[in-house]
Amino acid sequence: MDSLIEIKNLSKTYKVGPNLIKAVDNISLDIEKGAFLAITGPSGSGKSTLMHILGCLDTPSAGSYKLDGQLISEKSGKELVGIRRFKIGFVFQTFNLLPKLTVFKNVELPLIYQGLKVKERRQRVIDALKWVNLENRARHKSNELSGGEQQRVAIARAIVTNPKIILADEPTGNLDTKTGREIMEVLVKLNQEGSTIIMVTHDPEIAKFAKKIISLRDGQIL
Amino acid sequence: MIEIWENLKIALRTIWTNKSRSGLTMLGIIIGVFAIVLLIGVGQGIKDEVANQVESLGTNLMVVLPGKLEAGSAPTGLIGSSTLKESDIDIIKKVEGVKSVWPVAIGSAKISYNNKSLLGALVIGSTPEIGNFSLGQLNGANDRGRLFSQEDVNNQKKYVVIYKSVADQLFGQEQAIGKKIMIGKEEFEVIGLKQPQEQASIFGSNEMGNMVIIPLGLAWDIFESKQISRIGVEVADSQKTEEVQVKVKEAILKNHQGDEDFSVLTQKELLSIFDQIINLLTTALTSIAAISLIVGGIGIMNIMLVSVTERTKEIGLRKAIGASGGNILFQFLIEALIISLLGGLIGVGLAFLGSLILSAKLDLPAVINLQSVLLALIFAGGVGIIFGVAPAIRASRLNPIDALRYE
Repeated sequence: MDSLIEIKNLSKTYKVGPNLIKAVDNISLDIEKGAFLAITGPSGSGKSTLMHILGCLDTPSAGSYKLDGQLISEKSGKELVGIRRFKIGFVFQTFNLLPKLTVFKNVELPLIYQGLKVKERRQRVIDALKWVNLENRARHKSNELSGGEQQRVAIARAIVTNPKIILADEPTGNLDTKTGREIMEVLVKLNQEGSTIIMVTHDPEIAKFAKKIISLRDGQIL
Repeated sequence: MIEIWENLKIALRTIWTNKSRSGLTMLGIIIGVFAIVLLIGVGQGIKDEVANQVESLGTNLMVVLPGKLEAGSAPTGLIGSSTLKESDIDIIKKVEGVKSVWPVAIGSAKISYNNKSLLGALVIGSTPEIGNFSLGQLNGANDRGRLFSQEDVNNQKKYVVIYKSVADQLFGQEQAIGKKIMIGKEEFEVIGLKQPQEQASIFGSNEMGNMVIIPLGLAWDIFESKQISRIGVEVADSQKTEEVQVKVKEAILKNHQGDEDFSVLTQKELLSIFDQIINLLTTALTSIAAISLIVGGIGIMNIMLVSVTERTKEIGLRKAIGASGGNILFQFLIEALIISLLGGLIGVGLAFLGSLILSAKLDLPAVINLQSVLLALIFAGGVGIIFGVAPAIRASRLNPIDALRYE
């Protein structure tokens, strides 16, 4: 069976003044469907850059990136919007909910950009909120929720489009240990139900929840 | 492209959650639209008013005015000293096709009754033929008494027709007819009371009809000069008005030894001269008001730029979860458009209130028509879009990674 993600000799270099900095240095990596991968490493190791490339927010300088059979590294900015819209779900460290919108509206947002009709959006949002056990909070403003609840709303927003991969960037970074564990349990359950999850974290305890861990240093896999 | 409706809702929600800021942003547009709509309205109102009055003269009427009026120039002859002569009256009467002629002398004199006196009321001296013309007609539902007749004039009767506002000031609730009032140093008997159908008259006072009409000879005595301010001419056949106009002009020209220091205007010409003046004024004032709309647009641009910076993180998130640059551009453009259109609508509403107040308190007619409202709204919307483009482009070009990191 083909891998969901195939990365070959991927590099990303930045020019900072006269120096070239290799944030990602010749990485090759295959990720199967249904995987739960944790990428760890100290800050500056290139894990965030790798995550941005995987999430189609950034483009590699060299090498190839194939997602779900499509060669992402060759696509234009406009095509990347479409990939993000339909194939990727993000969970951020700072949740990134829109504070003035209700929980329902926050989860609905990606479906609006997909151009779905109101009725279908509604059903999908309710299903996603039920999955994270927050359907009774749908009418609340997102800033009225606790940190753990906000992150669950963010997970609902990530899964509402049924994406191919879910990218979690330090999903427990802004939460206390107990709430962080609860969020990890949600992600584990999500993975058990078949979702492919790639998580970036610097916390080894959190990385242990994943099925596989890779460590980065200076842009390379250790 | 995602539905316009969703963007509308996003924009309205953003405007609503930032009420005071949105209100301040709209202020420039509100003031601009308010001024434009109201100014156009007042211009239109005055035009309609003048048209009504001139049309009420009838198509068989013309007026001889002192001074030469050129189309497009201000009618200085309406204010300056008169160049019309007493002999012109008889000359015009003899022109073929002229049915009647009434000279009018306009001046002012102190009017008093018992110990009440009125300054600034206009005294109009004329002949009984003024009854052919709305200024001197006493056939309205609220008119009382009669105009002086030729017989009264011949008998040197000191009779006066007074306008309602004069009667109100002198007599209050008391009956006016039969009272004796002083005009200058002469005593006159009130024989007629007139309520003007329109408050302003292009033939003289616009002091809401604050005037009295007395026989011409007596007026000359009071003014101590035999001036003629204008001469009204009634043509027998309205089809031949223009023909008669030429003849009247020739006759006066001859009497003035070839000096064309007068004008003979038909109803149509009067109307077009007034239209031109009002149009010129309205355009000039509206252009000035339009500047405030542009200033309002700059206000929108300012606030939208602040808003883009404030919402950098939101923009980054929207892009990460699937918004294209176009979606973001559209979102901010719609927001600018809605702010300007809402401001425009509020401005129109205020202009409407303003027009009601103007006509109630100042008797300045303002006609707010769909045309001026649409013009102002389109202009406001255009300003919103033009000044919203720069912030919207800035928002649409934000890099999602940088935007998400923005604190």
